[in-house]
Amino acid sequence: MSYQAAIQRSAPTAFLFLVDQSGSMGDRMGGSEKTKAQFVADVLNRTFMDLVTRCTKADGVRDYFEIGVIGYGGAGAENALSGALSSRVLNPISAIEANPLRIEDRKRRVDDGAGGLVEQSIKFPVWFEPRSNGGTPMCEAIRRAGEELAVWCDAHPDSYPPAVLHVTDGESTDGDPEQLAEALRQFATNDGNVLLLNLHVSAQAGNPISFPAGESALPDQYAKLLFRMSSLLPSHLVDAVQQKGHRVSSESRGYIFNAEAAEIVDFFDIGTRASQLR
Amino acid sequence: MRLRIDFAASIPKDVASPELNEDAWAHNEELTCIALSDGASESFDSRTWANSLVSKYVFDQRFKAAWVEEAVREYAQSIDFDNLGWAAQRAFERGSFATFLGLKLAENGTDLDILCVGDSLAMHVRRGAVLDTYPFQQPEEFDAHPTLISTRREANQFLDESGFFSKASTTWTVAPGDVVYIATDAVGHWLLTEAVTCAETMETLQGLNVETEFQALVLDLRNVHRMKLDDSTLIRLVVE
Repeated sequence: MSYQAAIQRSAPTAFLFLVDQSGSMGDRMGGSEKTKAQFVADVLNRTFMDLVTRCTKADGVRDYFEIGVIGYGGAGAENALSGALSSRVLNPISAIEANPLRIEDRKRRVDDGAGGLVEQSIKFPVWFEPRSNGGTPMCEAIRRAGEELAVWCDAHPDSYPPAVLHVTDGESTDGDPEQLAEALRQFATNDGNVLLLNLHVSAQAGNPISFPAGESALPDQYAKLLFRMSSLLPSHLVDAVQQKGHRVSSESRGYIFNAEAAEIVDFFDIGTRASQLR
Repeated sequence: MRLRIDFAASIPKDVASPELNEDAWAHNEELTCIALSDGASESFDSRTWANSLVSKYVFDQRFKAAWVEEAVREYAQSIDFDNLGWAAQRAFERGSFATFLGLKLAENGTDLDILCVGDSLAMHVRRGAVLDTYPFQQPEEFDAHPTLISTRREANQFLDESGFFSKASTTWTVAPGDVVYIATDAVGHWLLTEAVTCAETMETLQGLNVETEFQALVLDLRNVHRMKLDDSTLIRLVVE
């Protein structure tokens, strides 16, 4: 059976984020003061923080995950992390923990355990800044992801397969990405194929469509294309989607159309589930 | 009567890293009570938390919501939160989690009181035959997400539910010569799947004398996917 491998330091898994940074990502989210790029950056930073937290034990950060971000926009498709994280696309989670762009100090009041509240300082790291300019070179981004994950899968044959979480709000401007997406999904470890999950971010009114099982309810050719580019959800992700209250079946694919804020958060949360850490 | 520890071994999920084993157990000097706890993998310091629970229990078996609250307070006081890095702060706040299985011989000497939160297993054997298991009877019961005791107060609210402790407890009547096995979930699942139904496997179990034998058994079972890859603890107690 696929997607069963225990995630261990000797056999980590990988999460690769593909983030559309084209000009239209500078438009405001529906019903929000934030731009789509800002909102995606916030959720991505929080996702990084959550993944680091999952791997942090009292004795340090255990490298259960390797993580990377490929941003694509006016400058083409490139590693969207900077500093010490810029030399390679996929970095072990301990390197992510050690190298945020900055750490913001925030204050909050917490239960003191004796019926009162105390003020506590809490640190918020930031790795990824919002950017939005130029076109949408989606094919280049998917090709680059494939190059990275082909090498990664060869080096980690016994690992739980990598997941690619792709966030976009527009159509590809450098060609049809469907064949490239299919090729990306063909890369595999002994535990299964690379998972490709696609998220379409909305700037307009209309109900989101989450994890559909077919194309028929999708409104246009572009949404149908992203649906076809998406992996079937493995059973444990079906369970995770159900826990979020979505209707889902064994035919559902990892795709959300017209996502608003809540769907973006869900998408990152569900997409970074993997089998149990060991 | 007392519970003589006839055999005890704990095989870590990574045999090369025994220091990462998050199972913990302890007993009192009189051998009238013993506790076993399985620290959850995805938590900040479940090894310390599991050790805290079993150590506290062998000194004080009045395991109720207030008992756990006190354990949480003692754990929190042992951490210098402000001097933790950002990741450790968040991981600490996410909490540490563990199962708990406590056995106590009552003063009448024949009642064995068992309290179980989560998916460790106790098995009562008399003259080679299984009389009872607790809290599960079927291996499928291990598939559900186990209830865990947390270092976060809000995650322990289930302890305040009416009737929780009566549902989490049972009493077995034991006699001299009876054997009681206690095990964390990977071994417990195997016990219910194979040992309960197979006399030969039960003989293997009864014949375990040294840790290396148990380690070989566990590694063989892991290799053929008949035992989950997890910290694996088995303790055999003889009533005498």
